[in-house]
Amino acid sequence: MTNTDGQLYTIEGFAAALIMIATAYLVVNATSIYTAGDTHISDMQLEALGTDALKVMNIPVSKDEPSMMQEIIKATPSSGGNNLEFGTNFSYLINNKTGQNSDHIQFSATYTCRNSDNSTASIPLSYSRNLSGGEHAVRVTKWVTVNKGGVAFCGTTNTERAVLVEVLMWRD
Amino acid sequence: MTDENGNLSIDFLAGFTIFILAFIWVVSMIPGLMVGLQSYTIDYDAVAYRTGVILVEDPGWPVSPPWEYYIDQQKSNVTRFGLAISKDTPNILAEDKVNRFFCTTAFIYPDDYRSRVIFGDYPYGFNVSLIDLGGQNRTVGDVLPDGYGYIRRPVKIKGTSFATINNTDYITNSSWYIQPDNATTHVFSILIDNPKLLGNITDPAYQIDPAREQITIKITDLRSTITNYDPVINNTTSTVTLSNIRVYKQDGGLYSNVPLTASEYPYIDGSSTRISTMPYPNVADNITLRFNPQFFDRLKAQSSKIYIALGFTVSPESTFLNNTQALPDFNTLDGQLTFDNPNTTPFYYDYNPSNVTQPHLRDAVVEVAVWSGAVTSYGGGGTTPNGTHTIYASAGSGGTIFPIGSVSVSDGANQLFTIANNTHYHITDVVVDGVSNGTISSYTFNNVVEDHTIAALFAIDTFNINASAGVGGAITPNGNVSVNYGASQPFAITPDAGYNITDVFIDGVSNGTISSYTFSNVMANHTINASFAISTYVITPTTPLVDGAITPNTPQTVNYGDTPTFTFTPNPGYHLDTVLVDGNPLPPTTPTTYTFPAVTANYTIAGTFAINAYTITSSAGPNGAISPSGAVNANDGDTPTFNITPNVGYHIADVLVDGGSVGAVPTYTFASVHADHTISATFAANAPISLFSDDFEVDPSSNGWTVSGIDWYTGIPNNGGHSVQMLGSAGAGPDEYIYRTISTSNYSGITVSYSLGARSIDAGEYVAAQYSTDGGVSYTNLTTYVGVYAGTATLVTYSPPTLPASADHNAAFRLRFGIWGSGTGDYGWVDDVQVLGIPD
Repeated sequence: MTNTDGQLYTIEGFAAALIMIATAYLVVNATSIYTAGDTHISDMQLEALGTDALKVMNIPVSKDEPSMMQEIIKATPSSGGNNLEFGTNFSYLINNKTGQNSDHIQFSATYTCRNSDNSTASIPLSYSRNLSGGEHAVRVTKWVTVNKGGVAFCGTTNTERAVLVEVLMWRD
Repeated sequence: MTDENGNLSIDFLAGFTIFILAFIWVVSMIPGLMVGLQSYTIDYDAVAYRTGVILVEDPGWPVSPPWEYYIDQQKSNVTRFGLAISKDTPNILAEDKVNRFFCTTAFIYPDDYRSRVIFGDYPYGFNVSLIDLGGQNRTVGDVLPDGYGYIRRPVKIKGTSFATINNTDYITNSSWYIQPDNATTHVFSILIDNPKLLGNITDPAYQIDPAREQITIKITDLRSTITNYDPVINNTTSTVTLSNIRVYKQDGGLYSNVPLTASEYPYIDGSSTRISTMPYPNVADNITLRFNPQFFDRLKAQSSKIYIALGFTVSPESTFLNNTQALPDFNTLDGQLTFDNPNTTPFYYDYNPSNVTQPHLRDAVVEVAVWSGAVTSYGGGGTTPNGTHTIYASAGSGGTIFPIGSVSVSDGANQLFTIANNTHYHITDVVVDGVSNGTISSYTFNNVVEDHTIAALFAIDTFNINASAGVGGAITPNGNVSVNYGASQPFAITPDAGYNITDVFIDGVSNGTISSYTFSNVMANHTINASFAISTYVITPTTPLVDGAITPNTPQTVNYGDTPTFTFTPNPGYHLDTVLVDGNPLPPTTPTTYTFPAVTANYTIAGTFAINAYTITSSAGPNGAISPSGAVNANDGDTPTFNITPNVGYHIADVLVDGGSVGAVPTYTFASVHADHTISATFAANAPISLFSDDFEVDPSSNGWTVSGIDWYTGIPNNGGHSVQMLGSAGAGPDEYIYRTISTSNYSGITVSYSLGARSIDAGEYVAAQYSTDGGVSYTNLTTYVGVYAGTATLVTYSPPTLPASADHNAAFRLRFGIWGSGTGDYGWVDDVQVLGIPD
């Protein structure tokens, strides 16, 4: 003997399944904003901050002037050093806030250039603290063109060279 | 048993499925309907990031004319805030956009901002702040809660250009002061050459684009110039009125007038509204006109040159502002240019920095914070339909106002607002309906009959850090530095060249020789003082030295830049040869000293000495030699000996040492040389001496002569009683003769003398004197003599020239006298024979 009671349960099951699928579709398809640092927000913020700071430092303040970054690299000995001007300005740009406390972002900057013999050299530029190895650092870079005139630079003199400024940034 | 109930269920299922699919399709067509079904919280950082991107990298909308120049009543046209000067220049913000964005009396938080920069339907709370490192910090939005999404973007703010035109420009440049006649109406024109401005510089970061950014023209010294040109007039009686502003554009060669609309007139002297009603009287000594871009934007597509002609009326009439500018004909406007003075030119608003202060970029940081939007939607402040009015109260970052938000107030009622700052903040202003009311802590709207706004502005407390540096260095920044509460302020201490940091005192406490210091979390006034000292270096002399000494002989501490001198004292007979600085040989500064150039490092110094060397110049005259000769080197104390040798036949005449005679010495030895000397020798020929003589007063045959037939004769002629007489005979001569060998060994320069006599000598006959150098094998005539033929014969003395060298040093030298006659009647005589020679 058969009857139709079972059909009702079957239909409910299908309906429930469809509702659940529709709900899942809606949730998944709802508008959301994804960014490069979606899963590592703090890294994204550091990257954006460092990239902006390097970009700002490489913008001349008026026409016919070199940028601060170019001046800094020109003033840094070709063998490297801890350039105070870079340290002061970069640290100021990345740590300044309107809030009560400054941020505590540390950095270590170098620049890399290709010598005339095709070897590459990584030259220390500035640092706020030495890397101990345990930091969770992000890397930001900026190409800068520099001509040091008669001073030997990247294996040549009186030639404009492009160097890659690399900054590792991390929070205390 | 079967029935059709199952079919019904299947129909239901199919219909429901279609319904669900349709529902999904419709839902997806409606933007935002299902937005935010995900967790809000994870989106805060992302929304803040997106907002930061829009603010920093986007110029906003509309672009032309830029949104920031829409007046308050037109703000509905602004659909998106964006602060970048262009799409191509992210991180470079326009100052006008920044100013307009933070104008919280024009744009009301939160709705005006949320719909233009935050976006989305979810009512986020937010705060946007700007740290202007060269100006004033700004903020809009709520006080930050404990948790929020956040982004911070370092940027540059592009300042605007402006021209300051003083009387030097319009007098010495003959722009205005051309015509000598007095006049009351004057025109000064400024040229905005759009094609040049946009063509010469294309980078928006440094471009002057009147269609995008305001331009400002400030003319100074107006009334004071009148006074200066006519001392009788003073500023109280002189007046300057800006009577009109006309604008002309030039397309190609044609000019045309472009009337300004009310919304295109400039802001004058800092006014908050445009001044479109002319004349503008009572111009002070200076007048500033700020043109917003709407007008230029309207004309930009035509690439026109634009002349802004400012018409002034001055009283009393004056010469210094005459109508001298190149302008189209005011009356006909026929497209032709009419010059009052064709030699004058307008003022160029261009990229010449002496004309126009160029746009300048300065640092700033934009901060965006977003959080869960538990804020009331305040609306636009409209009047409610129930006879009430809305007062919109807002508070900036750093404090509160109570009540806050949209406050409904009954018509005619009063409403009190109290303003309180947060800890470490203070009230900077309370703006009621756009008018500043100062730092009041409460405000009451009395008899409210319309809508109002009240905005409380706060600023964080600041503290002063007094930074100072002593002589020899600098501290950056210097002076009184204002620092926000809780902020950090780094200082860099930099010594001058040649100086070093001796100490850095923080609030009076020594911190050692640090080169930088950062005040963190500033909550009080501080001082920082850096002291410097000149750098010192040690110069260490090497002792002892060989053959000399150095003074001073102990390590010397000298200041940077000093030029210390070291003196070297050589032992007697020595001199300073080389100075060794850090081992490197250098020439002495003077014969006995070395002076360092400006000292910038530690050094060692030593010296080497060399024995004195002298030159003895030795020379010999003719006919002799001196050895050694020439420039002879001799060290101090040497005793060189010189040998003087005369040539054969000569003897030393004299030897001169340093010009003084030391006699005809064959050797000379200098005793211990301590100076240069000269030695020279001269020679003289030896005097001839008699080797042999015979006056024949002794019989020659017994006196060494070999004789052949001669007579020892006592007749005439003779000298002293005897002579030798020789008689001729037939046959080959000599007929009779006499000869003698006289050795000339050890002699040279042989000369002979003798006396000859002859008588009855015929032709071909003679008496001869001869010599032989080979022992008589052959003879050479010295003299052939014929004498007298008749009468008394006499003796004639002959002294022939010096004999040839073959006669010298010859042991076989022989003299012969003979007669070559034809008979015994031929006579010859010889007497007084002498041989002289110069001894070797």
